[in-house]
Amino acid sequence: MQVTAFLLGMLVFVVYTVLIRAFYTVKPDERAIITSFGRAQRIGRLMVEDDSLTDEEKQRYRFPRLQVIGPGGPYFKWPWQEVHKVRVVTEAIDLTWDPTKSQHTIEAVTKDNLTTGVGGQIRFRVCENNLYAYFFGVDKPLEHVMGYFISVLRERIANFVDPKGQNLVGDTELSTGSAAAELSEGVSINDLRKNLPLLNDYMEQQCRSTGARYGIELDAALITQIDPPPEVDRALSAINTTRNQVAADISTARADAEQQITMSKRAVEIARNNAQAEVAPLKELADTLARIKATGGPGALRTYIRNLRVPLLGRATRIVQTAAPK
Amino acid sequence: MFFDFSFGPIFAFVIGVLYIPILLAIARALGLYAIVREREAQVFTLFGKVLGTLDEPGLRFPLGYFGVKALLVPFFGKLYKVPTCLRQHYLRDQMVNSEEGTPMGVGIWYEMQVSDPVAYLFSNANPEGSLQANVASSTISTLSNLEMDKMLEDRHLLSRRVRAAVSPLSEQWGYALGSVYIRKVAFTDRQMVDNITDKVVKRLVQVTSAMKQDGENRVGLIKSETAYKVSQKMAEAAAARPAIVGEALNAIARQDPEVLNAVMEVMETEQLIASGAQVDVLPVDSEILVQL
Repeated sequence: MQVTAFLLGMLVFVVYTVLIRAFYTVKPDERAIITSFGRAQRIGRLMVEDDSLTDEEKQRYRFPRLQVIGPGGPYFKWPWQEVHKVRVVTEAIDLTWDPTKSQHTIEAVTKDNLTTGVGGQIRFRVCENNLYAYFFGVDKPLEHVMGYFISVLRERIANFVDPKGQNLVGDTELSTGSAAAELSEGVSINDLRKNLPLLNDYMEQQCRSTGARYGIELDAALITQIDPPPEVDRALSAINTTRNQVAADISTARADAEQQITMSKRAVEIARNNAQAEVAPLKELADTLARIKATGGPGALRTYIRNLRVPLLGRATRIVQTAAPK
Repeated sequence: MFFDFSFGPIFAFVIGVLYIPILLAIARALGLYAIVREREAQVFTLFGKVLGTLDEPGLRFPLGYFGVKALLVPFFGKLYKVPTCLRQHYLRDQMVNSEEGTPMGVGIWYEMQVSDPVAYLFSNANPEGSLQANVASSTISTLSNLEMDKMLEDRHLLSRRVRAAVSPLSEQWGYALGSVYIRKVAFTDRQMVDNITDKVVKRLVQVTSAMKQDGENRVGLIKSETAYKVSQKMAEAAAARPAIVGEALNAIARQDPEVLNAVMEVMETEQLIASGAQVDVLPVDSEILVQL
């Protein structure tokens, strides 16, 4: 009886470990790897390759490629095997995340030594091609990536200058050769704010190697906030207000100028038309008189004038006549 | 069977369930086999000496590596398990002074990995603490007396220098130093931060003033150019009548001066008639009368 119970117990253990615990499934957003007696199943002798790493880094971040089990199942495993699963969906984490410190913003020093706050998110996902680094190679991959990311970010902010050489005046027309252009050099807080997409692109480019290094690849860097001290913010707002005011003043001046020039052009046209109007009857009269002279000779012309003066005699109030010499 | 079955079927069943795991645990405790996990090294010591290290992951049999001595390890020795994965540490707020004497706080982020488990375990009582102290001291000696701008901007280069300085020592303690980054350079003096902020604010105010002045100049320029253009046009307008009328009169005169005289007389007479003024008709050559 006891022997039977003992054997039954062993059978239960075997059934439990070999049959019940032997099957597993992998969800659509998961990937799995298997370890046998603690050793991960590799793809031959293949190693993770990344051309963005230097030769020295390739030696340091040398991880084997593992056999990855995709979504599906049920899959079978032996009792001495262990399944390690991970979600490979894209996730987001705040830039300020730091398990060793509570903070609301990342402090960074700009090229002109201004201490400013930086905020945003990074989107990341576990690198399917380098699950070894994620599971075994790196102690805390996410913390690792964040440490690397923040280091690169602060270094970049400390070096950042506007690559287009733009200045605070912004508008090319306004800035050409102006004193404002010279003064605005080195006010990098404004350059940073204007070029956030560029900064994000740079961060993505610099962190392209994190997949090969730490098993986490950066999907996007979303730095959304550059928060300088309030007084700098106010000064920047004043610049913006002034820029708008200046633009408005120039627009108004241009509109006024255009109107005045148009009016003066019209005045010239009006004067010309008036003069033409004055000249038209002269020309017509001259033509008429020329025709009278042509047909009747100079006498006809004089006669015409005498005739014209006749009504004057009708209106005369006094006529003085001299006696003819005897 | 080596145990008594008189305890009853339930106990026998429980023993049956636990039999294999217990057997495996005993075999493992006796050092008959070892499971080495990924990025793990197992250091075997016996009678105060290092017997050897197993660092290849998988099922391993110490007997095959270390001989019969491996069986004595559970009784007269010790097994150390050392993780060899890549770790990181952030060393905050290391105080350095720039060449200008500015006090600055520097944060160093570095990676480390146990490269020699035996040295890691037995060369230094606190290898991590020593590594931190080394990184800190190397950072301070590398960064101190550097120009502030260089400290802020050439971080990669300085990081490499720190790494080169620390690596040889850390390797003696079984640690390989990975990437080293100067993660943070900050001003520790609040007053200095405020001064820099003031400087930037003043520069921005200057920019604002310059922008305003530039705008006023541009508006002035536009207005003066406009005044110039408008005055030109107004002069053109004023000159239009003399030009056109004069040209017409000249044209008539070129054709026939007598006609021109007639035209002028006609126009004068018409104006005289239209004016309704009183008319005195005087004889020709009556200058004396007019004077009277």
